[in-house]
Amino acid sequence: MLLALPVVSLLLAANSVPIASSGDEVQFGIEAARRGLWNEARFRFEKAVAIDPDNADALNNLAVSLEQQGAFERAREAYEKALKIKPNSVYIQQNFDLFREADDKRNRKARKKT
Amino acid sequence: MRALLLLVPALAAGCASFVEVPIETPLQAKIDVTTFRRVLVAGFVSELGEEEMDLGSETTRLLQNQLRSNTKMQVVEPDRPPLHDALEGILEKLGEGGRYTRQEREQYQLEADRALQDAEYWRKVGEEFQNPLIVAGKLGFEAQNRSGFQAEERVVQDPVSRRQRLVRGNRYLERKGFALNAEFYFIDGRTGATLHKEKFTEEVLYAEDQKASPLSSYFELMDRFLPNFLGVISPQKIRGTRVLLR
Repeated sequence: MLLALPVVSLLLAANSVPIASSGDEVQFGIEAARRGLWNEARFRFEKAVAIDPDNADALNNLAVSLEQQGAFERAREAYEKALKIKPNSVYIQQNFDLFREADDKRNRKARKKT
Repeated sequence: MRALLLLVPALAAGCASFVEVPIETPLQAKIDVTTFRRVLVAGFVSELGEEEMDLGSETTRLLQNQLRSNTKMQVVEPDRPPLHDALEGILEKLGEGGRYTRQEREQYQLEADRALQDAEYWRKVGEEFQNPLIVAGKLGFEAQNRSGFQAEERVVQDPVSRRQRLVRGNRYLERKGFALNAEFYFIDGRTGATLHKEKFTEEVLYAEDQKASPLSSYFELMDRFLPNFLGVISPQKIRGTRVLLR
């Protein structure tokens, strides 16, 4: 019984720490990306999307971080999902257009290779 | 009031909901050259009679330097690029050097093409230089003349009414320059097989008042080829910017 007390208090303490919002994670991710820490940025954007799957900004940012890391298929999915949620976002559309342009270049290279 | 007007855009900028970030996306090499420890630039076929500059030697030297600084392979530097010997053999068959007929030029190109695709020949070259990756190819460098009339629009002011109006017309523009065509062969020195071929065409034109020598134009054009040339054998990066949203 005495041994269980510290564990319970630890859990209570953990519960009292506020859970970061999707927006907080996005903000943190942006700071990491600005510093070139793309692994951390991707982790934060993934967390933001897990908290709020309909956060188009987080999905856009996740797509950018995936693109930077060469995960092109997942980046495309994330861009498409972001645009589905926010179809009129000029910024997301612009990112997606640039992504597709680079992707075409890569695919042309891959086609030549085969 | 004026201070408030100045403050609004400043606040808006401060609260901007987007951040532009530079990104670099990886681009895979077209062929896997990790099994090669050496690379040999074996020489280039160019058209007969191009005496203005030694296109083959310039290209060999330039590519050797690029391969040395951009790949991990050891660059083999023979006294004479091996393909030159093969090309000399073809020239001997054609007869005396100097001026060549059109037929002789065509014959030379045909024979040179055959040499470039001769796997047995390349296997022997590979054997001599300890099985390197072999780079060879064809080059063409030509003066271009694109002078002619071009449509243009000018805004002129009417001297009487002082109104501005758009005038359409044609103007003769003298534009000369150079075009460079290259086809690079990447050959496996162990088997003589061609692993990959890559074709490039670039052109540079200069206005009347700009003067550029063939050699400087050649380097300008090669400079445009080089990232794509290196992209065949080493991973490249596509640089760009994207917008992060908050």
